[in-house]
Amino acid sequence: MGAETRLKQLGIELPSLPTPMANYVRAVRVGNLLFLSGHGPQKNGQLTFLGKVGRDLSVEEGQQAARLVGLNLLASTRGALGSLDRVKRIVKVLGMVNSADGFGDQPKVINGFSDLMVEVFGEAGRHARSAVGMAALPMGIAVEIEMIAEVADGGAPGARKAAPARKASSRRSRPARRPAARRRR
Amino acid sequence: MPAVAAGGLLFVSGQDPERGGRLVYRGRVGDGVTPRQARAAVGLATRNGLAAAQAALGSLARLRRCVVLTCFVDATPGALSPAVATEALALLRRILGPASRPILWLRPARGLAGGMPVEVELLLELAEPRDTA
Repeated sequence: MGAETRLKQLGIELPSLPTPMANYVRAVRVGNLLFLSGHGPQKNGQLTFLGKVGRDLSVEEGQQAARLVGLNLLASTRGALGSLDRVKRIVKVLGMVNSADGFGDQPKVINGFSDLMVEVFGEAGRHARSAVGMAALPMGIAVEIEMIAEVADGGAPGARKAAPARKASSRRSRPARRPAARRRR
Repeated sequence: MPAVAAGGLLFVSGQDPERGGRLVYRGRVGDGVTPRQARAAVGLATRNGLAAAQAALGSLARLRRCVVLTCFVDATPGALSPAVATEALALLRRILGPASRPILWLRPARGLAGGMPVEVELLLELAEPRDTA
């Protein structure tokens, strides 16, 4: 099942393309990698979820903020690629949490984002990640997230059309094997 | 996931200065954590990152180089220094060879999981791009 179909099934509607806050772009594609700028919890062109997690926002509210950031990142990804079905997988994420003194549950907060990626992309949504605390974030937002995604070769991974011509040298990489050690973040 | 390969690169998730599932260092650099301990913490987290890379690839011989060493450091004002990466860089040189020195991204952080002082990411280049088979 493609990501766009899953979105519909989940009843998720993505926000309109988020507004960059300065003279930069939302996403840059290099080869098969899509690099996305840091995104915030934007809704209807306004930043929401302002403040520090652990002081102004609870962990749960932080998770909601992270999920909203995820929706914004998906909107920019769709804007860059035309369709979320063109995402082969989510590769690497940096989740930043505007943290109160002594707050150490950044991974839980960013789970609000990571869980959304798995909901939408299934196994392809599982990513490498760092979840860190910041003394401040732009405009006082609670959560900012950057993301790198891999773009599918030659069309939607879920499509069952004839495969387009491929370069002789191209080979699908095998997904990284998970080690036996427990997964913490 | 601990590590993901894409585009000829291996992205390793943020690693903790932990051993056997237990954080070895807690506190802020400059407040409970000395510069010496911070260096050791970054070195330990880097070692954990290499272990994750080895588990993902089967062998570190499949790496060409480390491209970026990213150190998130929770430090008091004035206690943040690139010297915190000295041990980690020496370790990478020993394991991956002298020709594979990475760039260093030193990122101030405030609040890391469990109150640890540092978190380390590795961005590694695969020896054979697009071939992790």
